[in-house]
This record gives sequence, C-alpha cells and structure tokens, in this order.
Amino acid sequence: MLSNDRNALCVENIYKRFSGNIVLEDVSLCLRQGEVHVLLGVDGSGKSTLVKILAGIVKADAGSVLIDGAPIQLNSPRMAIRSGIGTVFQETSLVPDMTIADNILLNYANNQSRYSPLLINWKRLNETINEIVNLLEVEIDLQQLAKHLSQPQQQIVKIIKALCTRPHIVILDEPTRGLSDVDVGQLFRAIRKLSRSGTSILYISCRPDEIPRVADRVSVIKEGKILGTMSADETNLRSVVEMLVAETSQAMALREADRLRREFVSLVSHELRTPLATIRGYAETVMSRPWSEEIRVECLEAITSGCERLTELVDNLLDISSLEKGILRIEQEAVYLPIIARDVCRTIKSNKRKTPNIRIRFSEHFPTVQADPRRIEQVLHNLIDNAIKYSSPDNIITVTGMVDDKHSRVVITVTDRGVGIPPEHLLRVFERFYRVPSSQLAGIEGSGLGLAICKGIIERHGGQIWAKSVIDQGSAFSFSLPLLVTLVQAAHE
Amino acid sequence: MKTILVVEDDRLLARLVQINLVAEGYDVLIYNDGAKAMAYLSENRPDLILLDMMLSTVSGWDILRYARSNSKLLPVPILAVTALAQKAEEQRTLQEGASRYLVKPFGINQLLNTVAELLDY
Repeated sequence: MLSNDRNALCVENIYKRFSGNIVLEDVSLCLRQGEVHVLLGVDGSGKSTLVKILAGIVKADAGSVLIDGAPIQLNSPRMAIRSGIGTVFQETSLVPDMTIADNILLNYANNQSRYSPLLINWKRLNETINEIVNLLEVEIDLQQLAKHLSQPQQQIVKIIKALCTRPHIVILDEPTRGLSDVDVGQLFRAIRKLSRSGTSILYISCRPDEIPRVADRVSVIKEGKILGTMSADETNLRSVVEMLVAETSQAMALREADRLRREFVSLVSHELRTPLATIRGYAETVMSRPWSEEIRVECLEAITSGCERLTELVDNLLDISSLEKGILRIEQEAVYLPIIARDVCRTIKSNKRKTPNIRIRFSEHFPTVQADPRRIEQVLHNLIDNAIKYSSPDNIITVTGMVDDKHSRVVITVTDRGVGIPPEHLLRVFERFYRVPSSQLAGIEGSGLGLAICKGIIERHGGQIWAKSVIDQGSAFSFSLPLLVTLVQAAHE
Repeated sequence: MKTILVVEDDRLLARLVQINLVAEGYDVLIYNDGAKAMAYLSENRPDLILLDMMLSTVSGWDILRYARSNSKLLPVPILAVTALAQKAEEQRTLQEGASRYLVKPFGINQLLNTVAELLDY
C-alpha cells in the first residue's frame, strides 16, 4: 500500500441543505494519497450527496474542497474531472447496445471541453485504456457489446470509464450493490491494484463487512455528520455497527422531539387557554355585577384553581423538558418510603375538600432505598392524585409497599376502585400528552404529562413503572426502585 | 324564556357561562359530555347552542354536523367556543355551520353580546 500521510483530497466543513432539511452538517474528511478510504453509512446518511458535491453535480452551501492542499471550485462535473476527481456513480449504467470501447469513449467525449471526434487523440485514448486494463489486470474485450458483460465486469468498465480522464482521486459510490460475493472479490482486487498505483480512492459503502476486505481507513457518516475516522486494522466491526445503531436512536430522539414540538403547540392552545379562560372569565364576572357573597367566593375560588392549574402545567413542562434533556437532577439519599407515603396522603387530604379513604400498607421491616425523596414524593402524589381523580369520593384507595427479594427491589402500588382503563390505552398512558378518551372522564382535567414525568423519574432511579387495570373495577399503578445500593451497604455493615 | 344548551367538558368554564347567562335571564342547560348532549338534541330544540369544539369522545364537530343535518335543529344558532386560535380552524368551523366563533380566553361581554345578537335574529 502506498498510502502515506499526504492528503490527496480534503473536504472541510461542508454543509448542505435540501428544502430545509440538513443533509450534510459540518462534514470534514481527508483522503490520503493512495489509500482506500471507506465512507460508511446507511441509506439517507448523506453519503451520496457528498459524492455529488465532489463530482461537481451539487453545490455545497458552505465549506471547501482542497486537492493537494489547494482549494478548488467544483461548479460543474467538468471542473471536478479537470481537478482530477473521477466518479463512478451508483445509478449510471452502460449503454447496452454499444461496445465497451464506445461506452468509454462516450464518457470521455462528454467531458472534453471542445468535443469533436476530430479533436480526440484516438491513439492516446487507446493507450490509456490499455494501460488501465493492464493495471487492473482485467480481461475485457473492448469490442464486446456492453449488454454481454457480467455485472462485476460492467462495474469494472464503469471504473475504466472514470479512469480514462486520468484522475488521481476516484470515488466509487457503492460499487458492490447487486453483486454476488464472488463478483465482489474480482472488483476488490481491481480496486486494490488501483490504489497500489497511487490513486486515492473514496469508497462509499453501507456494508461494515466490506471494511476488512477493501479499506485502509474508514469514516462513519450518519445523519449528515461524520462520527469518526479510524484505521481499518484498528476497526472493531462491532464498534462500527454500534456507532451506526447508536446514532439511529439519536435520529429517533430527533423525531420524538419533533412530535413533542407539534404536540406542544396543541397543548399550548388547549391546556394554557382553558385555565386562562377560567381566570379571565371569573375575574371579569366578579367585577361585572353586585353578586351574592356565595357567587363571589365561587368566582375567586375558580380563579385560584385556574392559577393552580397553570402553575402545575408550567412545573410539569419544566420537568418534562429536563427529563428530555437528561438534566433532571436526582439526589441520592436514604429514603424511607412509608413516611413519604404518609406525608403525601396528608398533603392531599389537606388540599382537597373531599377525598376517598386512603389506606397505607407497607410490609414489615421495610428497607430504606437510595432515592431522591422530593422526586419520589412527586411520583406518589401524582399516582394518588390520579387514583382520586378517576374514582368516586366514596371509594377506597390503597398504597402498598412490598419487598421483591427475587429482583432485589421494592415495589410500591397505588390501587383504586375507579373507572379503570381500557387495555388498548393502558400501555399508552405513560406517553406524553396522552389522555384516555372516554365520556366517563369528561370534565376531568389534566395535561397528560403527569405519568410521563413519573416514568421519567422512576427510570432515572433505575426502576420501572407499570399499570394494570380492569374496566369498572379499578386500576393499579406500580413502580419499583432497586435495592442494590442498600444491599451493598448492608454487606459493609 | 330562551333556553341555551351549553356543551363544555371543562366544569369551571361551563359553570362560568352558566352564572353569567342565568344572570342575563336565560334558561341554561349544561352537558359536560358530548354524547349526552347529542341525546338531548335528538329530542329537544334549544334556542341556542354554545358548543365547545374540543370534547373528548363525541366532539364538537360531530354535534355541529348532527345539528346541521337535522331539519328541526337547522335554524338553531350555534356559538362555537374553542381553544384553537388558528384562522383555518375558524373558517372550517363556520363552513361546517357554526353561526359564530369564540376563542378562549374570551371576555364575558364578548360572550354575552354574541349570545344576545344570535338570539335576536
């Protein structure tokens, strides 16, 4: 391998947008002289756009391309070829009813500045083709019709076509697509020979398994960004695959964030405007007439309730956004859950006029757990509040705590005998803004954020949250918190 | 006495409308649930319907379409109330047959004036 540290081609800080979508974001990549550099990425990662930019077909929005250290302009395919870049596109094919020689000539002629058959130096072109055929050690009858060639032979002819313009940089855009394994071997041999002759090759691929067979170095591209470049010998295939997969979950997070933004707009409309309407309406009402004392108190209470609802919404939105960004702070303290449960019930009872009977049942010698007491209180408050909201005041709500030794965790369950949740909605209740559509629940307010926040908090503690429910019989919401830390502590004592 | 049907799933807002309309001397009937309001409409004809468009099961749209396809209810003015402030939403509601359109948070005078206008027709 002739590859050395001299860069034949450098792409620096390339940006490209198509109709508002970022396709390439700050892409930088260096191709060393004589190396086979694999650019690995899944479909839609932006690799084909980079190929088109380097081939002068698409213009980058920002960034520069340097050849042998000097910046070049790539305003047209012809300029790319003159700068020494030869590109073998994935989508182009040979003209089936023309000979190979004519196919090659077609490309060559198209890319000469003043094309006329008379101006082509036929002798030189023929020599060039022979040279390339010898270099790649391929046996191809140039007078054969292109349609009689096998697929890998066609790929090789496409490479010969590109090489006729004497490029010192060759870009191959997924040349093995549709080729069998045996065919791939033939193609790879030709590529290696080409690189040994000093040509630098940017090899675009979506298959990590091609790396050990063809690459000197690898760059991974995902969502329009280069994640990293490494030498092929050092490349752990698994780590490359993990890199691709890890970024996919980032893409999912982006889509999720987008969904959240759209939901936020409708949330702002409904959830903010409703309490605002309450506050404005009752405030205007109370001032509009000489009302009875009873009505005036009712109005003021409604205003307070509207303010509380807005405050709760703002708090919830802040929590969900911290959870989203992973910056929700969780303190770790020794927490004794039975006391927290008792405190929460006390707070709820003092805040509400009418509450159902709440029973607290914890198993004996309940252990302390490592958790954030304020956050666990918030979760319990939310679950008990829900249990009250969705059942009638004469019902009984139970809060139980037990130790699950098998999974070394504690499980807290809040059970109500309320309306229940239909099975098709049960899994979705932990989604942001999700509210079970039901006429029985008409008039029960809620932003649909509470359970999503509970889930986030519990998961940040390393626990799980789940729900069981039977229609018209009630629901049970449970969460677990790991006991591991306390067990380790116990072992030390 | 003119009867006004109020379909609104937020209890505080329904009560707000009730307090004010009753003080103006209207007879007010409140439904928090779209399905029950629909059942009421199949047998009764109020003088005006105040309709929240964002109900959870049977939506305001369903009630609007039902009222506009029913010859008995066709002349009843419908005042649509919604938290959706988009212009397109307003146009759609009017096209579907709402007489007027109020966006939350609305003013009490705005509400009372609109109701009076609609009942004067």
